[in-house]
Amino acid sequence: MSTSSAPATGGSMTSPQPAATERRGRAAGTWDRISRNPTLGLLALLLVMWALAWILVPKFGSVDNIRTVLRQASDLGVAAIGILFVLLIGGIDLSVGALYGLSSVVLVTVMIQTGSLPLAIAAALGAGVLFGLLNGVLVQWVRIPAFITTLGGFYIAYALAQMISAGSMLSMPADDLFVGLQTGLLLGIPYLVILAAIVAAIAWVVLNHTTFGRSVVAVGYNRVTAGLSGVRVPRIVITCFAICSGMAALAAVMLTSRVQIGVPTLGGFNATFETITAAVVGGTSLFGGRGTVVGVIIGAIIIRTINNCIVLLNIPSQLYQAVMGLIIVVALVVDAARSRYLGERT
Amino acid sequence: MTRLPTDRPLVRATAAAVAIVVAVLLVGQFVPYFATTTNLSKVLLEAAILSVAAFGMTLVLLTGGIDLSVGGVMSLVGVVEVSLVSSGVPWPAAVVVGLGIGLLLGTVNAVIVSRLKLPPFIATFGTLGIAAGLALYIANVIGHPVFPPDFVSLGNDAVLGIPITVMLAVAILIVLEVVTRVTTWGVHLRATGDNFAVARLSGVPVARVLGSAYVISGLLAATAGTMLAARLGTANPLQGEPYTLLAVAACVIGGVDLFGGRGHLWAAGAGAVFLFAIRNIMNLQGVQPFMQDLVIGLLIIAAVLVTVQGPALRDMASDALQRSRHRNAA
Amino acid sequence: MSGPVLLDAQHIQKYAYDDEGRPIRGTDVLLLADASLELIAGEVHALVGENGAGKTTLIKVIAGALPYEGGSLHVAGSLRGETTISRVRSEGIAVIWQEFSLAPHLSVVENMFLGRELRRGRRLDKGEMRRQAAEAIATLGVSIDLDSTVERLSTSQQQLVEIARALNERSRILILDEPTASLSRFETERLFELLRRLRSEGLGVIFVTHRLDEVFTISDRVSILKDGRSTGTLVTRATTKDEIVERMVGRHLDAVYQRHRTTPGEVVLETRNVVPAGGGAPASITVHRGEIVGLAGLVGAGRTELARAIVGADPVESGAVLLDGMDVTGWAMRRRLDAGMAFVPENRKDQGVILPLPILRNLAITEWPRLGPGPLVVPRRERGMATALVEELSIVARTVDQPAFTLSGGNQQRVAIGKWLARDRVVYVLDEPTRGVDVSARYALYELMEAIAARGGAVLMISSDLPEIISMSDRIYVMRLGTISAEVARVDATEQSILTLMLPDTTAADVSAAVGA
Repeated sequence: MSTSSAPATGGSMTSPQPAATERRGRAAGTWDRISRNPTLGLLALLLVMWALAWILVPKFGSVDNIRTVLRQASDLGVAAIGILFVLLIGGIDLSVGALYGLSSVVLVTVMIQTGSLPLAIAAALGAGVLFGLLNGVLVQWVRIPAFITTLGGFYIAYALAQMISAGSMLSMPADDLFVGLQTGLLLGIPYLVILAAIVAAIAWVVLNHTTFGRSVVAVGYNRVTAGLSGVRVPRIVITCFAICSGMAALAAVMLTSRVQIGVPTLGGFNATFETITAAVVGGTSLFGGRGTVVGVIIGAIIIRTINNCIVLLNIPSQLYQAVMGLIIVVALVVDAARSRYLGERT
Repeated sequence: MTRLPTDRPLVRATAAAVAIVVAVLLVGQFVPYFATTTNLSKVLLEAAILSVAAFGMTLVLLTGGIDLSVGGVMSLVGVVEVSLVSSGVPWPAAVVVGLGIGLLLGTVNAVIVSRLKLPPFIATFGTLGIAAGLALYIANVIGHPVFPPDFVSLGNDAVLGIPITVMLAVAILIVLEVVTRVTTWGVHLRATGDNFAVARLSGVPVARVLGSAYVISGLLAATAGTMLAARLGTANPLQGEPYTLLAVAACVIGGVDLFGGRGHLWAAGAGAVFLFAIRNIMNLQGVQPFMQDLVIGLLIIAAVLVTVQGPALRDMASDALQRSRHRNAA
Repeated sequence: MSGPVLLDAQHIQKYAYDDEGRPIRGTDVLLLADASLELIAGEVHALVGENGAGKTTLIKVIAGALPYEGGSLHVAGSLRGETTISRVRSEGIAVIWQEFSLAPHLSVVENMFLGRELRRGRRLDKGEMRRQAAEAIATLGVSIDLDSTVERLSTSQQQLVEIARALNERSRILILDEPTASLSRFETERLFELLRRLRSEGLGVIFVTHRLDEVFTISDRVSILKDGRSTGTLVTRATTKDEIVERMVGRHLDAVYQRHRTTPGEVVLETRNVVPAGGGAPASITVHRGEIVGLAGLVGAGRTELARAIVGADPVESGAVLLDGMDVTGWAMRRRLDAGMAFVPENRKDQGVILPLPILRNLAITEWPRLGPGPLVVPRRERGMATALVEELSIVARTVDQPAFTLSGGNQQRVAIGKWLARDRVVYVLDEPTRGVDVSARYALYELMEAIAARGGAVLMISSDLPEIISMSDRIYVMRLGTISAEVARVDATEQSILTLMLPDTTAADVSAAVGA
């Protein structure tokens, strides 16, 4: 990384500048090099994985299979984009898994009651956003650590879902449009994937080209300074939690279109785990400030690829859990090391 | 008196203990069967299991960390023990292996936290995943074996009216209390969580102290997992899952500071009893499982709220007291 | 003052170091190039130097917290090589840092013996530790509750606990890092009395300070560091402030900044009997267009609290804040900033800049809403603005994309101020703007403040540096015990008069003697 020229011998401080400036100048140069894209590294990793899978696992490379992997990655990717916002401000949201169940139940229930798909989807998304607002308020104004709030939120969402569905599994009434969402193709690309891509594009614009996006990163790195510089910290925090839960709700809608049932146990703690893993594998720091939309999407695809290979190779799915655990440990170790290197923490 | 010292763990812990006694008596009036010896004995028996896990969690919390892997370790240990037993290994040996697994996972946590310097939240989150995943995998392989009756009786029976699990938990508590009060390790634990940099500069072997807390927590989680397996007579790979949150809850309710440096072991035990009493009452009243989880979740939030907003609440309370005193005096 | 040499550091060299204290691989940056210090038993030896001169690094090397790479260090006659902390303890050196080395929720006794607990067999010997603690505290002539947790003690009491620990450890060398920063006048005097007593018992004391007055009050000799080099060891009695300062910066005292004055205009900022949230007495000040108003006072006098109340970072208990005649007392901070206030906090690293964020973002953070249509930000406009500011402020950086932590302290401070300069603002509230900034960067900041005033802005500057505040301000408010004690016009301002107004309970005669007028 640091291709320094031969170190000066002895300790002569010949330059009239204070020594510290020199040290910083050198750090700046190295910095430029690194900031050129860890996301590229991730993309390379994904391509290598796919290449290996294509060679080693029969049936992986079929168009149909790739479509399946991407479809499955779509809802995970959308949820991961949501949690990206919360992670960026230095928080965490453990309730996303339960939000899957809650949203799917709301979706199917409203559909059953009103027969209107748009209304049902709106209700599901609305429930998600509302829940996220509640999380945000508890974290920002009542000052309860996000870990505790969203853990409690998990159980609250789960309980709500159970109450609404009276504990049973609800069948989604047949709706061509909704089923079509899961099966349809546009130019050979599944609708779900296109939807995820659109969401990703919007998220990318928001994060990189809006005041809101820049403020999120500033708050994540240093909330106090951001506030003293005129950033509306409370608004940013609460909005990020709302976005996260809203995205989780959208992911739930997408998932429900694949399974066509609404059930409170959809997602569960597993889904929370996967979503966070996708974000972390995608280069998002758990300490706040660092993370990209593209990285998160790649992370989601990587996870679904592993999942897919496990299935195709007939490895028992219970091992998947353990593998996921190992992945997140590795990803977190790497993230923590990077974080310290990048000066985000000492 | 102008200030209520609600931030001192001793006061809060005493309040919790008093609350339990009062609750038992009061509730006994409204909920039939609650205040009977059989029922209370059952509550204590189950609370003992949680309290052992909570003791480990307390040690880790004192160092300013957290151990999220507790639930996973409990599940894994139970599953491993039952699989050994079903292949002919005598249960004491299986227990030893189980405890060894707890030690091993605890050591993994210790290394990641103290050497790799990963934040505990993250490190133990990962081990949780691995442990839970392994538990699922092994359970899938072995089917549904059960434990031999003499093992199961340890988890369910009582001697002289006191459940064996309770005796074990109390014994562990006594040992831990003595050790933490009487040795330098105990002081070093709290110092590390109170101010890591200062502890290190003062010559406290912080890496070792930090690591030791996780190793012991792993061992205690394995112990709790063994007790749980004995109680249930079998090993379901998910049976330990709720215990992570419950252990944190027991500690928080018992006044252990989530940020390190303050807290008492016996208070965590009291918190465990409180939790299981609440759960027992809800069961007796026919509250549905998911609602019970909800209540527990809310309890935790409330307990943390008091910790975090404690000073503010205390000021509000003492302001109100002062105002009413002035009003009365006027 | 005479006796055996307790400590002899000669020509110490120390490279920039990593987390482990070892030189960063490949670096040739020297924090200490040639630092020497000799300490004799029965001496109070002051160590002075600008920020960044290497005082703290030298202390850490002496204390054994850092290894060194050149020169020699003899303690009590024996040479020291690589050291671990425990061995240093047995050499009898105790350091009392500015941020105290105490665990807040442990008791006084536990803190005193932390890391070196007394044992009987394998058990803690609590009785003996308690007895020794009581003895040490009694020696200091104070009474402190041994069972209290340390966080409940006052700053001065905490410091005394640390000294008690040093005494209990039988330290022969006591090093104090800016010990009087948070002490009241009375507490400072008590500390000095204690040091005099320890001196007469044969201890050696090294006393790091920025306050040259204290050097003359308490020290026997003074060593000066500049840019990592020793520039002299003087006998205090035989030298002057000027001579010391000259060795610190190579400049005479009267070459402090000469300011060009602007004629002040109308009142743009006013506080009427403002009592900030934490309490205090009412404070009323005014600031005019084109003025630089100084706010002087001791640490703890309430200056930062007032500044934060003015900009809205904290609420007020009572009173009013007026900006350009508008009552903004109820306004949120953001609204006040939008209306034309600017605030540069005291703590640069934690509150002034966001270290991992690129300079680009740090500079533009206040202007994002205005750098694009609606919620959008046009990157080119952002970059253009930032680049222009970097040039205008002469910020030394290779690109605007490098993170703020790669900048030197002085440059970081320029960024901290620079973010407010994209638009002309009504009033700039600056809290210790030149603290920890080296001399050349300091001058640049003075020029900047002058330019702001010339352009019609107004500056309210909090400073603990008397020469600075006297030379830069048009008027000076002096704060004492939470309220304004006086307003002083520039012509009447001398170090002596300002100092007198700052001190809570000394007579004018005492002040003259101390300042050496």
